[in-house]
Amino acid sequence: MAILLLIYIIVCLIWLFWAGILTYLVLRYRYPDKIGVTMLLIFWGVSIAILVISAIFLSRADWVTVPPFFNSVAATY
Amino acid sequence: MSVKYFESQQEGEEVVLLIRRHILALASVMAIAFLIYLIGLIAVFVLPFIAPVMVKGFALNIYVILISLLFLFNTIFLFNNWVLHYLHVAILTTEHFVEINQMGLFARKVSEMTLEKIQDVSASQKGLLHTMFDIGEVVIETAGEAPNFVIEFAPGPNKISQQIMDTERSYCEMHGIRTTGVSGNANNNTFIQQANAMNPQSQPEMPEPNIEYPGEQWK
Repeated sequence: MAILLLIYIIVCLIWLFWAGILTYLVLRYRYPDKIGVTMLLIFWGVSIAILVISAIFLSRADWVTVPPFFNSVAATY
Repeated sequence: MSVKYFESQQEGEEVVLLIRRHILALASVMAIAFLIYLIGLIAVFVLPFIAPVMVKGFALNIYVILISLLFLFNTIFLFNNWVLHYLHVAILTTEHFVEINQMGLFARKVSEMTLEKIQDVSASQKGLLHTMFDIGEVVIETAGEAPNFVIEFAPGPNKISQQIMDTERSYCEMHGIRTTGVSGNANNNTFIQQANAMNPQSQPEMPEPNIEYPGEQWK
């Protein structure tokens, strides 16, 4: 089960790298208007909210018990 | 001058117009992104009622991870396209016309020309949406072999082309340039020649052409 969490963290790091590049581009080449920074803040706000909500659910989830669905699939084979 | 819009902007060079494509240029991308958001929201609010077994125990982990990644990557997909849209601009200054094209995350092209090289500016609108939202294509034809500048999805194309023409005219007047460009019209050279013919003293003395015909030697 820990491997699933590891994969999730790796994918999140790839996402973070992509987000970092976009943030750099906006801050490096932005024009003297407020749209660039505003959109950047909205993007990071939404992204952090998604990450926090996911983290809350993942911390509450049961990482040990296998649900009946998987039991029935396992029993079939 | 406190703020620079592009690298080579000179001291005292003022930005007249910053043209960015209309947000409708992103319509297809936004439609896809919002469709994916909708699918994600349906999965969040409907799936627990349809298949409660999928949101318990270990299955909940997979469910949360998948939904989380769906939202995260959809958000960055949308933002990525918006950044490319935001950084793709055309800038008209009192001296230059600059087009900055952000083609990808690591691909950027800056094309620049002085206003005297503008030969013709045309604006065109095609289709219902373009007419309704006053969007169009502005084409700036340049002198010589330089490639033309094309601004797609330009908001208010007629106003933009008019603004470019006015700025080019004032640039030429300021620098005392006789141009074949938009400040007169395509036949401006003809008018200048006619004016010179009426007042021969104003004509500059042209040097005699010194052409040798090598054919004479070959006979």
